[in-house]
Amino acid sequence: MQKQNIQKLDDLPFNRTVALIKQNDAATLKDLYITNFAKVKRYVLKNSGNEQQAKDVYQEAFVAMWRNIKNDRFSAESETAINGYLFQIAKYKWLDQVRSVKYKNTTFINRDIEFEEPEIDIEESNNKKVKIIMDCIGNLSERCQTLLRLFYFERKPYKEIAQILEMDEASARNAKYRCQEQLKKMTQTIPNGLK
Amino acid sequence: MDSNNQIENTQANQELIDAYLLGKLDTDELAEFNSRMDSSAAFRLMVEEQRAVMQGIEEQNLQNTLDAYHAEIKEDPQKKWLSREWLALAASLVILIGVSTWAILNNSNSPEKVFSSNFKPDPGLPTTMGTSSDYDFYHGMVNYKRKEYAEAIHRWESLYAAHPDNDTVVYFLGVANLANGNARQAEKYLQLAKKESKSVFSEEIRFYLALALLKGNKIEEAKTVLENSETAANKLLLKEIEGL
Repeated sequence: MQKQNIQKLDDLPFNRTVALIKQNDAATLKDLYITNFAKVKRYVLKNSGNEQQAKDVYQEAFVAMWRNIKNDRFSAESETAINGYLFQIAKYKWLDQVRSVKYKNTTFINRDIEFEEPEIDIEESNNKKVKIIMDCIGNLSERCQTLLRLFYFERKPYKEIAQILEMDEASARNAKYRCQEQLKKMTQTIPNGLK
Repeated sequence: MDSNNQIENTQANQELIDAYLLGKLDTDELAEFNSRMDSSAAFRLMVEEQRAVMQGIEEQNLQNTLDAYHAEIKEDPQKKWLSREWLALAASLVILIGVSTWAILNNSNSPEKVFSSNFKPDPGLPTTMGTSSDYDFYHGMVNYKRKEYAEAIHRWESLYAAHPDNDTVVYFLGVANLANGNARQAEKYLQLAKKESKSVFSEEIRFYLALALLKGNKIEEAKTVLENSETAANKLLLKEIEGL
């Protein structure tokens, strides 16, 4: 299974993989996710972390990788570079966490441990607006959440959304507009976006 | 139609910006769109706002999906020596064993054979929606029917957490897990479902539970589950298992 996944990713031309990631292609994202966890887990376990921490840091790194590819902040020469890139982000994030924990827990900084500086550019935070929106989504009705998920995340055409939600296409369009307006209104009631 | 200060926040504008953000404009439309952005700060702002909305929705949903991906990682404690050479050697061994097993078992049955010749996922329920609380269930059912089992399981699991007594959810979680190759998890759910003796699915539950057990090589347990069953499918399956 694992081998098959690696194989499949290797076979995809790099640009195609990037294009699929940008479209949130579920199969591509899932393959990437499944393929790369083992290496990150080994690294975290070797460096005084546990499985849960490995999972957390990996998921953070995965989202960062995805976000950077979306925003064209990552370009690579080779097709397998995405796997390496994901690992680099996870590694950097884990080292960062270990470093901050050590810093908090000890009165002196352990000079024996040299931390490598990251060679990659990690966009740490989303812009504030995106964060506020992420915070507000949960307050929408289930139906609105599903609709917006289908439209923006799963990239389904209105026709298919209409089928899934058992409504006609025009109603699906209207509903999407209204849901999005609701979401925008919610975000406006949060002053400066800080909860 | 758009003066610099007043761009109406209409559905048409929202849909136009969506088309732009999703890369669906053709060359001419794109040129027009770009010149509109160049000439109107208000329009540009609207595009940026909508981009933020889209990104927020995407990222939130990606985060919500990762645990479902994670659930599909198969544990392999032996990874340390998974070098290419070992893999090649292991692969040839597997083929060798496979071929000889096949040669030996060609005329007889194996639990795996009985499983694969009998297992077909439940066709599922019609996806008509009633109340809004059914909504997640049916959306999961849409995933399930499209064989997107991990997504279906993900949806139903949160539903199960909220309503652990809903035997329909438990039953379909069992079948979806079995279809997704996770017999142990399937067994857990189907055992739970079986306790609910009044379930309308009780015969189906026994059928799939027996298959899940068979997959785990628990042949005797599978037989016990099917004992005294009335349906033809269950009787037939029992016969095949007894022949093992």
